[in-house]
Amino acid sequence: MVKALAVFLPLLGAFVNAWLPGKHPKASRFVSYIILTAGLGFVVMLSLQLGAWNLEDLSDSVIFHSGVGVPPLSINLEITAGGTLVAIAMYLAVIFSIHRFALHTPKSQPLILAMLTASLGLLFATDIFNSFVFLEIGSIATIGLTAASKCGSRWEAAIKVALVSGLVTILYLLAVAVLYRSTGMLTLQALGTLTGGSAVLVSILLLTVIVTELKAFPLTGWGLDFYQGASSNVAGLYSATWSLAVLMWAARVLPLLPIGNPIIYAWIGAGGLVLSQLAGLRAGSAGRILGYSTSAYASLLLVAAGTLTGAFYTQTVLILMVFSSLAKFSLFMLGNPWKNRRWSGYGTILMLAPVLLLAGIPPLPVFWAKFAFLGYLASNFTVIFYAVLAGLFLEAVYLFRFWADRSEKIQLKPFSKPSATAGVFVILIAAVWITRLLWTQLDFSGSIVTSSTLRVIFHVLFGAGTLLCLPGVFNRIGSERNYWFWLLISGASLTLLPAAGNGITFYILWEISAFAAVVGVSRGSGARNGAFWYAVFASFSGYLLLAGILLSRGSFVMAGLPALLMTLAALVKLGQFGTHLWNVRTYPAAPGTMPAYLSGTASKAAVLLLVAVALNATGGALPWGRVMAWAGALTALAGAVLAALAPDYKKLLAYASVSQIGYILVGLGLASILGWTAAIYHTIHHMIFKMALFLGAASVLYRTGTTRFNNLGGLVKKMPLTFAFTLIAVISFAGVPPLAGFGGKWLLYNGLIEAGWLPILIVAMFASVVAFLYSYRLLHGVFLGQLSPKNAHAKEAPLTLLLPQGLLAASIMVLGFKPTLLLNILVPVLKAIPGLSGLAPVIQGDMVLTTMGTWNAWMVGIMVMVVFGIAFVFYWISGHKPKYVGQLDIGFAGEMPPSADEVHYSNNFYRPYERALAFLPRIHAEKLFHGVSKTFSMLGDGVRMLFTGDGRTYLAHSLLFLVLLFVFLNGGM
Amino acid sequence: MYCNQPPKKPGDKKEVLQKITNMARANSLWVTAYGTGCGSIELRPLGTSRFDMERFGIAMRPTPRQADVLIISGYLATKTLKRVIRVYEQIQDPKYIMALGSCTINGGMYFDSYNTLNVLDKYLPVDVYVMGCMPRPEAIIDGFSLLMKKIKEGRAVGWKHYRENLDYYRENQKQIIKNWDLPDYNW
Amino acid sequence: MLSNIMSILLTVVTALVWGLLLGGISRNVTAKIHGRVGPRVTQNFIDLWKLFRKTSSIHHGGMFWMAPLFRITGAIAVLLMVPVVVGHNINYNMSFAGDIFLLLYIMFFGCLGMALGAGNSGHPYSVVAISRGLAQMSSYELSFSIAVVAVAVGLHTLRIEGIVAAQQAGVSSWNIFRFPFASAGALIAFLPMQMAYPFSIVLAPQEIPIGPPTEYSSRFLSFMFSGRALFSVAKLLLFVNLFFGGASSWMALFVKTFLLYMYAIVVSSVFPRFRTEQSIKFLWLVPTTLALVDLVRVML
Repeated sequence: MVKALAVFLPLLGAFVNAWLPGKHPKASRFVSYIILTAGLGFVVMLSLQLGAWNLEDLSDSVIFHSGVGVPPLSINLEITAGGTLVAIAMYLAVIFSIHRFALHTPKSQPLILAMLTASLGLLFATDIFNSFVFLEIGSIATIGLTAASKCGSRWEAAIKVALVSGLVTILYLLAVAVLYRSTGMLTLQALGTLTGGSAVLVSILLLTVIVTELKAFPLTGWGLDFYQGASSNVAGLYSATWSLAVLMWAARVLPLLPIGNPIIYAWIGAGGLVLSQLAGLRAGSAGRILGYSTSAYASLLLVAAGTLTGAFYTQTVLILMVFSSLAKFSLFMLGNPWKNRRWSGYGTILMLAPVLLLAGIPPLPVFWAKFAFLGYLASNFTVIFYAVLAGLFLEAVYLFRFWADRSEKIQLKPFSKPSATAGVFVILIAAVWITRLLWTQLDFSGSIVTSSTLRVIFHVLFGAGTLLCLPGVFNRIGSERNYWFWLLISGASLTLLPAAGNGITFYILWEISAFAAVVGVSRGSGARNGAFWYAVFASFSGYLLLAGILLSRGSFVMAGLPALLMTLAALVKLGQFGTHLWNVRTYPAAPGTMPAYLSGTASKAAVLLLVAVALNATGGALPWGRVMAWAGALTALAGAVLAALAPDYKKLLAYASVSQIGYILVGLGLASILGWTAAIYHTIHHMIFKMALFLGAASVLYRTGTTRFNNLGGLVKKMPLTFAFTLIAVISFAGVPPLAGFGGKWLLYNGLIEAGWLPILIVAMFASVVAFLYSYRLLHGVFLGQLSPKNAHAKEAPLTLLLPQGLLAASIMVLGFKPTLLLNILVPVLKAIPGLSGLAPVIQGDMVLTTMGTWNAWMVGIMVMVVFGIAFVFYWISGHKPKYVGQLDIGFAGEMPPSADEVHYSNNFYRPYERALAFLPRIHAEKLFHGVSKTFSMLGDGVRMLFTGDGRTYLAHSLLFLVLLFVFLNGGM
Repeated sequence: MYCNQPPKKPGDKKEVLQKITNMARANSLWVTAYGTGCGSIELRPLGTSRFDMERFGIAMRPTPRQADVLIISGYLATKTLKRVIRVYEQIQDPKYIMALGSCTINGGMYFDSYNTLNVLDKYLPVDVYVMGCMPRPEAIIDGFSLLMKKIKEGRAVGWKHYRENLDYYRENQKQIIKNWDLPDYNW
Repeated sequence: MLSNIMSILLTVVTALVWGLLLGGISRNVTAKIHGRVGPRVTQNFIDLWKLFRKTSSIHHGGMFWMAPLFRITGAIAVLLMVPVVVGHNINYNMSFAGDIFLLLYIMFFGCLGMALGAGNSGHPYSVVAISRGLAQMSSYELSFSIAVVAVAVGLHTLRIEGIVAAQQAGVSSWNIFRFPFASAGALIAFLPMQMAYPFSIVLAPQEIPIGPPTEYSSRFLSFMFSGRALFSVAKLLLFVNLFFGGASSWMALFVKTFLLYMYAIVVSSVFPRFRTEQSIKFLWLVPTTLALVDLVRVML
């Protein structure tokens, strides 16, 4: 009884409701809620009975007949444990969205309930003719719902559904007839007993029906038009109930089809995934974007059906489909707002959760399924694996673009949209639930960084970096919102990162830290675009890392291709030239201390990854070290030149960050003890000075509200301490002794000379000289020169920003005068790594010796200090009392300068340098990147031409697909 | 934006090594390269191989901050006075003014012009006048040697006079410059 | 210890006197080339004293105030890192504390300090000059560092004492003969280092009144002045040590640095000035190519 009620209660509600509305809208709503709540209760009871909640074993099921006689006259249902979970999701979706229909189109309530019944029926039906009945009910309910909405383009959507369901009906009935003719049975299991020509015919017919109904490529067109045309409520409800039911039904039917080798599904799926997602890049509207995403998940289902079996298959499909459908439901409810109300800022985050889920970011549920699924593919079906990975990345790109475009426009009160909010909460609760179940996969026992000292260094680096960024988060300007929470999450997972013991742990922490930072960035004012670029590159790097980890069976020990992929992941994350775009777009856009965290701390995760890969895969020396070193050196040079020409404080720092990262790559690429010492030294040093600089930028931004050089200048009078700390950081990174920056350069150059890599040495040295250009540009553009009257109100930075800067500057001084403090720790550790070549530097007291060079930082420091002190004292006691004059009291050919702004030399600062560089062809990485994205867009456009928007085309597609399938399968046999 | 404190009045304090310092000052006269009137045309040959002022340690400095001598080369238009005041006050002490030509003494051929100063000394403290209209380079060199002599003897104190009587000079200057928009003190 | 301090003091004082004297001589030589009489040889001392004894001066802020100090500190630091007279241990001063890389980078100390002071003066021309200077510096440092690396790698040492010691076997062992192309590249780079024409775009008196120190007056300028004299002697010393076999006695030191200085002066007197981008392009092309020849030779 319970079972029957769980499925058919909504139908009862539909009949009751059909009489009520119009006169009694409130009563009909009341009835709907009562019925839905009761139905949900029954489903939950069933799920508890079947023990569905541990997700381990979903195969339990109960079978019952309803109606009279035996199937096909009666209705034959098999309620599985997994199915009950799906049913709960459907019920929840309807419960949380029905109020919207009740509000605007009260007459559609019966249709909704009918659709729910059809969905539940299709979900559980084991009889192929029963399924047909439910398919019909579902289609009719969809058409009705679509047409009943108040959306302008409802008829375009409805007619496509009607056309397609007509065709599906014909094909399906044909298949049923053939099946009944051959076997005399109509159960799903009967499909397996088919042989010969009828088997092929039924398979072809049913496969066409399934692909069409799933909206998988190439039969996606009608689905896109439907999602675009239908109102967002209808589309959302549809994807959470009917679409989900079809997916689950297809998941049950596909393995049973007598098609011979099911790998054909995987090929259709994988190929379709890539092509449809290419087309998805060009999608414009929210509906279409989510349509493409639906197509992606349908393709994933096909791939899974072709490759997986047993409980693994059931679990994977269940998690993938249920949660992606719920996510789409939430996005539809959010993506097309009905009313323009003020939104207080949760829209971004509320929308991000489903987007992240669809993109498969941990720890959201889909990730766990994808990880296991892709892992299986990686070890058994490599080509399909790459295709799926590529498709998923493309999907992530347009989803993030969708988020960046849309989340700004969501305007509604928090929690005024319970449907969407509820969907998100279901996802998040499920995330916690599933993470709890799969927690055991995480491993913190033995770190992938085999050297404990290095591990501690990275722990301290990440922890300290995060902590130093935290005080400043309360100094926000304008419409910047609070981002400390995300900074903290990101920083915490980053701090744990070096302790990760296996691939999945590393990957999860890596992705959490990256995407928490994405949310953090998006909290800035007008930072959506920056956050988008960060998200795209982070997911690209994430997929590369994932591929590497999965190809090396979840660990880090495989040399060769997996190690290469992980290296590439690190390079993308570091902003290696060519992928530096995200650095340059994200850092300037990020709010407050976020860029300091991103550039100073978070980017070092990639260094950790490189170190881990090198240590585990090859014992220290990466085979492509030389290429990496070249890439690093050229990155250093190009970044430096671009930084010198940058017109914005934060942009300059972003380019500078790209440039400085290059040195780390050179050092790691050297694979010698000196090189690694230099790399780790520079990693630490880069964290210190870059954080000091970005915190300085945050202070300036906080006090003046701008980072454009044209609006700044002369701030040394107002912010002397900020200037002093920035100056120390700048002198240090320019490599001028006696501050810390010189050490990294000295070690690196000695390593390069030792290895005989002189051309790289020259490029690196040249880059370090170009660094003077941008270091002075930075100091002058912001702090020196004329103080603009616009900034006359500026004052010294608040203590929350000043104190971390002071600490960082002090550590630069300490490290500069006593680098042996660090080298004494580093050198013995690196000496013990067997894969590193070359001789270790010898440390005698304060003296560091290599085979060719010497360096005594302490002596140099003391010498400079003493000389400076003597000169200072002489300066002071010689009775010198200069008069301080105003900033406009300059020798200006007898004239008075018209205004500070006109005298301040800031625009086109290095114009002559730009002119001298003009002989170079202007290969902007940006242009290159635009070229790449344009190419992809063109490919996407090519694919998109399939989807004409004409219903007849779609019918032709289905028929053509049928014919091709026939030709292919017959040719195969 | 501008300085707003009056300059301190220099005392008569004897400096250490005064003689040597005076010798050095006399033998290292740096002239601010600012042509204030038509007489500047006669200044240029001084740098050439024919007259070679560098042998006396005289050099042209393009910025008043580093100069010692300001040469008012001929008639001084009221328009130019404003600029000259600022340049002069931007030169650091000790500083000297050398005035060329009759115009600076009594207005010369422009004595009745509406826009030319007649007696320069009322507005800026002149240390050395060089006669002529225009004085030849030889005459200018002669003027320089006179200035050097005065400096050596410690008599070139126009700058002290200017500081001590700044109010007097300002009053005169403001009579000429009706729309006084200079800062009160130019350092 | 005491002898070391004495040596350092001796070096600094000698360098200051020699630097100022060289300045005076160079002004005289230039005058002679122009067909003039020229100033006294001691003119720079007189100028320095006069500037030092000017009674008033102005400043524009902390960095402006400190810049001459930075300049002088940087110059002395470079000076002390270079061995002065080869063969006398005390005359190595502080050169044990670092190698040629340290020297290359500590040379920027003074420049950076001066650039900061000039920036703080708020005078647009100062900053224009700095922007030109840095752009040019990044160009000539390329050829100079290639030359230095070629020499260091060729002699298998980065230590300046080592480089000098390797040149003590007669004139033919001087690096200018062993590494002629690298030396030629470095000697071209030496011209912009000394701000000689045709590379004198930083102190271009005709367009940007003498560049960075435009606003510096009186005592500040005297410090700048002595800093410049010290720095130019330090650079001369460095070049002598790198390419001309070092100096085995004080006499040799004076002769070699004098000749090297005269080379810059003579070239300087007969050339007009480059535009900034012309200068940069020239420095990227000619001396760099020359120096690369020797670098390739060393690598092979």
